[in-house]
Amino acid sequence: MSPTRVLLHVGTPKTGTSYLQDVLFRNRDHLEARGILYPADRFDGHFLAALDLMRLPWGGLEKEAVGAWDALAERVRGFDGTAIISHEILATASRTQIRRALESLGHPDTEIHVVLSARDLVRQIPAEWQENVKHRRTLRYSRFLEQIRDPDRKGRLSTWFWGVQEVPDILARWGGELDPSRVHVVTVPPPGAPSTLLWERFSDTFGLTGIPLDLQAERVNPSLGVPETALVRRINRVANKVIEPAHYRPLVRELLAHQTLSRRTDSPRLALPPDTRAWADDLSRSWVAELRERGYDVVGDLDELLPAPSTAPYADPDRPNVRQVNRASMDAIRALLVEAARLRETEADLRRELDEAHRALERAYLRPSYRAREKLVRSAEDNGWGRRALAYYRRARGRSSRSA
Amino acid sequence: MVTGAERGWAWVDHLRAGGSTPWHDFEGTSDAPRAGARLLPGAIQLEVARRLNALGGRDDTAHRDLVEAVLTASAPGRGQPDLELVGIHDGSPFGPPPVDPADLPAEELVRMAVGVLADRALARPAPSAVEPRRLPVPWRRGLHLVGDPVLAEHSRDALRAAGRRPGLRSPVVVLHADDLPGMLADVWTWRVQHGVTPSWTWWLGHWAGRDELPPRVDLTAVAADWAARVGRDRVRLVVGTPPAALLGASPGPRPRPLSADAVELLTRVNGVLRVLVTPERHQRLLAQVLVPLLAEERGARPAVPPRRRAWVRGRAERLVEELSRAGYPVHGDLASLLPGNGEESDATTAAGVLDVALRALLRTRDQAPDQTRHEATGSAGAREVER
Repeated sequence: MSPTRVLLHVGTPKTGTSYLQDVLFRNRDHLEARGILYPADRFDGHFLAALDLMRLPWGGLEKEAVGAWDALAERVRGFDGTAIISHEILATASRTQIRRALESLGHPDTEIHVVLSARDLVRQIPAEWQENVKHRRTLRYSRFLEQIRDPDRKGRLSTWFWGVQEVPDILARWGGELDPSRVHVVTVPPPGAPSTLLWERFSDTFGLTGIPLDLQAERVNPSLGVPETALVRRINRVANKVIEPAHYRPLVRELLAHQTLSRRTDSPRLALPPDTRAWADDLSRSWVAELRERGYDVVGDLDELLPAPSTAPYADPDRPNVRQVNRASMDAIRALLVEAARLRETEADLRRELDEAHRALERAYLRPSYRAREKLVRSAEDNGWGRRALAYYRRARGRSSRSA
Repeated sequence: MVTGAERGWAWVDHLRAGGSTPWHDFEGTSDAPRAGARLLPGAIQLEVARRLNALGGRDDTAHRDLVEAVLTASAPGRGQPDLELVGIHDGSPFGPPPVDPADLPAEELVRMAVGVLADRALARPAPSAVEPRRLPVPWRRGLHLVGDPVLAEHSRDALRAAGRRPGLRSPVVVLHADDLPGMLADVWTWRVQHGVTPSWTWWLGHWAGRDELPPRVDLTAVAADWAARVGRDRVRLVVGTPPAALLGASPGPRPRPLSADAVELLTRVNGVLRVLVTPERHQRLLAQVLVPLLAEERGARPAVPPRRRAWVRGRAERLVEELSRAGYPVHGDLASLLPGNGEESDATTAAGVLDVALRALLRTRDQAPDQTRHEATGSAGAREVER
């Protein structure tokens, strides 16, 4: 068996990908009944597959990714219908990795389409810096801009940035072996467009139109304003050394950034300083001209990749308004206090349960037969013969527990 | 007129044939592009292949396979993408700029070499490490070898070599110790050989930041723990190699450790293997394939960075004081735990790690597969699928 069509959504980050993946994942059973496979057993299944394909370490998560791409490809190959794969970090795959990915999905015998959702650079650049900050980085915005404007792109940061954001290059890598009609560019509508427009474009591209789906998002990746991002960067500077990544994710990224600070929508939004903005305008124009030449299928309008004019004054996140940062800090402290109180209550509940368990155990220990057996085991563990005899006994009993 | 692509393909042919002329000195031509090979290999792949040829190129199938593996590989992890050779095309305004391979940073070449080395390790047969089980001697006292893991393993090797069977009577605990910088280097090396990825400086900074010693060489705590279990008189603190009278075998002088560059290389290979195989298979590959492959890479232990020296000295002084006060039987001089004149390497460099990686790749070529048995899973496949 082989799929009739594979839709490979390979990026870019910050273009509604989390929302799309969330809808596809939660509706996957319903979709499969309609002949559309979204092959994932966990929300981040395609992320793990991408880590495996590109051999990317990711804070320890990569250990859960062993064999994930091959397993994903096998499920796709075994499905008779349309299969969708979506993760934005696939944008950075090398040509060799892309060739392996396409071949594993049945290329050239299977009809493979590459989909790239794209948003104008003036919104993407600050969004990428913000993602860096939400992943523990402490880099100043000005330094970030300097690095991505370095024409040599030697640093890891600029390598990654352009790897996942340079639309013409991503499409040349992913679409190099495909007919242009099978390469689809979904443009993200400009600010002020109807909120459902992007979903309609995704829906159209992935063949979801007309299928009743639960569109209530559980996972989104909301944006922060200037003072809020500046605050998280400062938190990173003081907390990185004392907070392990496993705690950072739920406490800083989820609780503070996503659930608390992102709700402060009246603060200034991140933008580009005027000179960088002019450079990004020029770059965007060259991208749009190139994409028009290539003849890809465009869902939306390539002109939407040209930055919209802005009249809002530029707010520098490296020199944020102190009062705004203070207000954001108060919201952060309140959220942490509420969370700390919740954890204290949870701890108290667990202590109560533990005390009850201890009391139950103590009652069991008071039985004379138990005390006699305990004495016997302790004396046996003190010498080699005794330990040997205990090992035989435990093996014969068929339990690995060391307790008697 | 020779086009850039023709010259590029000619250089690929030159490298496939074992040549080592740098790209900027190369003059040659070939038809381009090739059927079935529309993509010219990237500059990083080509430069690694060239350096392999320069180091040990030869015209045979095994070497050609190695070069081909490099040319068709993709570097793992984060770093530069596949880069074009300078002078091939007129230059696309998109994508990373083309490069002269001679200008590539060693770090990027290491990343590529590490990816190929991981693949070669996965595909490589390995000897079985199954050790015959030896019956214990009931009347003999047991031995627990703890403390510095490299010294303890050296003692175990000596016992195995002497064919000494374990005892069943309540054990004597031999607590291996050395100067503290050496013990720290040994623990890091041992941990790397068990799959961890942090660099030496990060790892040391981690413990210094917590003002704690790694549990294995927190000798005061280890000794106290064993004293509570077997009695203080049966805990023997040994500074250096244990005497034959205590061990029942003579360990001899310890071998030179793996060089700091070799261990650094292993941390990077670990980073790749963590994505490719289960932890169990990762451990087998380290023990049975990778560490033996680096067996000749001996050298000085990694140096304690200057900013950590005061911390290491302070902890060593505390250790000596605490152990003196505790009064365990000691073989050797407790003062030798203080930082002394142990041979230390310079800081590792990407160039040094690259040299080790290239030599290791050549060894994967030189060691014939049929000399050894397959790795314990019995799979010589390039990728792990068990979950």
